[in-house]
Amino acid sequence: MPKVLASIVGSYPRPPSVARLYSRLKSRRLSPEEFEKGLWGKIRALIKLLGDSGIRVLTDGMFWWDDIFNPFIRYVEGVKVGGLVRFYDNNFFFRAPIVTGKLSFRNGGFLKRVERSISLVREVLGEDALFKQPLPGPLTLATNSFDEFYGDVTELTSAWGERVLKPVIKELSALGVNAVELHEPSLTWVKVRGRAVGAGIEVLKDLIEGSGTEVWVVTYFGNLGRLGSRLKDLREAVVGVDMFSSRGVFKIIREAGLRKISLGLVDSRNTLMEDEGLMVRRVNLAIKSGAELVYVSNNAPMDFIPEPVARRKIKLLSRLQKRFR
Amino acid sequence: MSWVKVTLPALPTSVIGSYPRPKWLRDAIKAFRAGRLKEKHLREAFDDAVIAVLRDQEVAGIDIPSDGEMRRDEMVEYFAERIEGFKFYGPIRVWGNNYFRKPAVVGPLRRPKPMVLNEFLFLRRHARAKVVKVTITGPYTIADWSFNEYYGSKEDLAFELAKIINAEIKELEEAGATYVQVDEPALTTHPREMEWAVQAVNEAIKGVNIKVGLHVCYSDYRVLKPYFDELRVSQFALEFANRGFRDLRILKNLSKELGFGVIDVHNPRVESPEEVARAIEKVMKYVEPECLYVNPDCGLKLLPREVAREKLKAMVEGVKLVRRKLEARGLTEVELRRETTCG
Repeated sequence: MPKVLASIVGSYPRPPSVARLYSRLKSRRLSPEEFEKGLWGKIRALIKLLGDSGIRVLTDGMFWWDDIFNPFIRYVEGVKVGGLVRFYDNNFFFRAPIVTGKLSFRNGGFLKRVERSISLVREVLGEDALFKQPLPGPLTLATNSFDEFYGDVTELTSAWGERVLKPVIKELSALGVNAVELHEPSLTWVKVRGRAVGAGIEVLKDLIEGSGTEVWVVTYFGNLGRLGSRLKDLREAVVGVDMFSSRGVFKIIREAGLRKISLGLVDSRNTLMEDEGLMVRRVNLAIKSGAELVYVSNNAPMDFIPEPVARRKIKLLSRLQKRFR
Repeated sequence: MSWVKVTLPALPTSVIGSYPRPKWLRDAIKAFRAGRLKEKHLREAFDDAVIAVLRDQEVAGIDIPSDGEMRRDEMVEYFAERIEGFKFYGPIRVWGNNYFRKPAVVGPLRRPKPMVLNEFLFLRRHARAKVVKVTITGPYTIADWSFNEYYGSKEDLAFELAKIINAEIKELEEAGATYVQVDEPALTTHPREMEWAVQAVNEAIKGVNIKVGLHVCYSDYRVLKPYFDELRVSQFALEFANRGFRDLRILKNLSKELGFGVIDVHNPRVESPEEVARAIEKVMKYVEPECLYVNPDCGLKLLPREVAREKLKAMVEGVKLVRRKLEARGLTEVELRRETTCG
């Protein structure tokens, strides 16, 4: 019997109360210790909220991340943090990595934070909850970097994968994360050329095989069908699909032989609530197409909708999960 | 209103629009929201703040100031609060810890009364400058930065908004405004929508006979370039400092004025006048000085006020360095132009 589980992909809307903590830290009205206490208190509250909604496959909401790249890129040698750049076609901006030298992961506190998220999830939801750590994927990193060193997108993608993500994933696996969520909007983004996409898939394939933990490859803002037969190379991963940007998804699942899929059934860029009946039909179609494990989730990080709307969408996912029990 | 000839110094300096609110204004807004300040006192605080930040700009030597958008919390929110048919669900993040309340369109849109006319009239009354700039968020950006729960498509929504903006700009013209800047930071976000997005902007300025600038920032200007001529504006105000003055090549063959962004508004480091001058000299390889205005990349509101002030001073000093060289070439002043071509 195929399994259907509700899951949160990437970020949950960062509440303004968390932003106030950052602001008070910056203006020294909070000590670093008070800030950490406040921040982790908010993360704990989110984990509890998600757990109470029946979500057991989750991230920590990424409250300590500004976007999918920051602060991660600050823990990488060979990178300078640059100016603000638009995140694909959203009114959302990130500080872009400028690659100025040979890349390598230098930790410097990154893993400690992940460790804290893992223990918090265990503490609040117990050992059976599955904690996923989101990271930017190699192609998404490469295509959103200003490259002043490698000179070629294929080489840069490979360097991000081999020299940064591989060691990070290894460390995360040792720490006990249940899965690593590689965010790869560039895989399906129309402006990224086929050659770069091919290189991205090669690097991903390598990361998936040598990871030692479950890997999710989460695509969004573009049509999954763009990957064509190359999707077969991601078969061992959980593939995240944006149901609002992709066409012919079930045919793709069948043809690529995808067994584990994360269906982005609620739209993180729209306040309207989705039709529950349609969601049920889509899950059934995914199962009929050969999926053995179907995660029902948000289609993209949730930074783009207000928190009260995100909360309603989470409840919707939770109700959907119940209907398949 | 008939168009009167106005001359400005060569390389006129301006701002994009917003300026940091003084601390006491932020306190007054908080007090009002908490019910501790009467509305008439808040109005007075807004007026005083406009005068204060206008003086900051004048002291810095800005030729074309704005009112700093003192009365606006945010560039889309402000209009969504004044157009019937919008609803707010809560704030969303734009970057880092910066939020805006993204509105949702839940019914037919209607403008019950003018939205920025009083801002302009107050600014005009108090500014010493010959020309002031009034900013208004464009129809595409309001549509793109809203959730559409009512109209059949984003295109329908944008054109409905274009009608509203057009009526507003015409009222400004009638009241004596000579320079309106339409802010469209979202314009290039969805390249597939560019064709109709450009038409929506043109619809918003249709029949307007004053100077109209178009501000587009943090965008892929390669998407904008094919529409340079089609957009019926006289100036593009673009951001370049944030991107380290990359992409200047897109300005090749630009046949309009450029409002050149030389100040990074998201970095508290104050640029030196020499840096500003170097940037201007760089851009003059692509744009004739007769067609060049100088401004920060974007609104200054996220900076501490003293940093914004220093940045404007540095910008003006940098411009003066270049003006000296232009003077030697015989270029000392330019005319305020409303034509949609330049050079």
